[in-house]
Amino acid sequence: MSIFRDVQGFVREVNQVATFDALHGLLDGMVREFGFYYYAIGHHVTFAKGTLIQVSNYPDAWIEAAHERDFVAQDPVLIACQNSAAAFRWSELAQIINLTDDHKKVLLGAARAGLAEGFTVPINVPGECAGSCSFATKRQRTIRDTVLPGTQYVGCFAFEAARRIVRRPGNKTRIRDLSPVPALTSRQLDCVLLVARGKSDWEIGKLLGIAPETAHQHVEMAKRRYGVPTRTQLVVRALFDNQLGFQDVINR
Amino acid sequence: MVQIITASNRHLFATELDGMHRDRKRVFVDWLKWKVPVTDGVYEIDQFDNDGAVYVVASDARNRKHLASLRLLPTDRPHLLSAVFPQLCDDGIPTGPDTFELTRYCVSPDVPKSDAQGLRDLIWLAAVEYAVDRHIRRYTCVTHLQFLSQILAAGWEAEPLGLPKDVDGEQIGAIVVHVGHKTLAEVRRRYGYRNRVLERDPEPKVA
Repeated sequence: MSIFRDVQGFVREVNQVATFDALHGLLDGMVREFGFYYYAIGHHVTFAKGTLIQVSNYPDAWIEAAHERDFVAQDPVLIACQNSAAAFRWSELAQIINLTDDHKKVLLGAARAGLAEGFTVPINVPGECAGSCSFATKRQRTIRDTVLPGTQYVGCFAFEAARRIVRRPGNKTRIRDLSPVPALTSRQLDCVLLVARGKSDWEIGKLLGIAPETAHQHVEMAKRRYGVPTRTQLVVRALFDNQLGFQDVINR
Repeated sequence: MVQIITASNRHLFATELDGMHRDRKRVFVDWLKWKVPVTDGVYEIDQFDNDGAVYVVASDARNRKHLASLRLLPTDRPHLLSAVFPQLCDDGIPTGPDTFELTRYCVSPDVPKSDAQGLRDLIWLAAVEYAVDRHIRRYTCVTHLQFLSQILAAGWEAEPLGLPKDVDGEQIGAIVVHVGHKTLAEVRRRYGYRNRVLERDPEPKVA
């Protein structure tokens, strides 16, 4: 009964969220209630087509690696979504697809990055590209069976919330038009500028006189406000929106 | 053309209803493999296709061919949730004169894929218009989890009535959708409709 209450409460709140920030906040709390830590909600598109929704707190290193190597094409979880309309655990992947060595490499990489056990809910809205919601535990934690039915609802309703946030009345197809320019704080902008100049969290910390963890958090918050999963995309968006100027980035 | 078909006017729509039951069989039995009764080998008809059922049907104006439809059931008598899937509600089954159950949403397999989405929008919009006409405030719905995201994408405010449960190897859940003038405005905006799609209610609700 209380799992249902948790889900019911989550759904009522997520139906009202208007920003990616707020959606992240709700998801952070909800997934931890259920024993997960990581989540990734979004459409499956290759980098070439652009990303409609990517709401995720996966470890930085993992997302960067995945995007750089176009893991989307090799990610067994995303491929399994094509074969299974039903939700599945990552431990069941071999039963859904032919798990090749490349696929296993991806899973191993995810595990090394901190994603222990995972559960994915495929999302198929006709007329849109495929998407999914994945939830993963951290380190050695195992998935609690009892939360899985409720987790499916968390995924579906969160996905719809993201779709709703990314739309605005009277929009056309350019991703740029679909979301308002997120206001970054001046501290976040400082950090994004330094990221654009190729600085690491440690270097940013030294340059701004803050701890590297603090610098990391500023960048994370900026990514969340933009609803993008990588630092590269954050820089591109901030430049596109004129929150960063090319002169600032290049003249150094 | 979208019509509301009830016990009192169904004699005018025999062709559309015939097409609907045939397409329901093709979609729910042949394609989705649901274990539901088939009549004469070609029609999908169950115990809730009775006098109380209200059908929202989109048909081709020229040849009256069924294109898409859904069925609404009053909740003050046995319906899917109360009679077949009560276990899907963790909190009691919503019933009342302002609550109908939305079932058997079906697009004809003969409809080209490019037209399917437009028809889906049309039928959902008609169902919301009907709700506003008849002062219906809630639609309950039993759905396979794989279709939930589609339903949510239609633009209405939905909530779960219980956790999803396994029925014959599939995850099924019950949800409730709140409908009203706000929903109508939202759905019209999402689908790009300015005007009414339903013909005027043949049985205006007497206050």
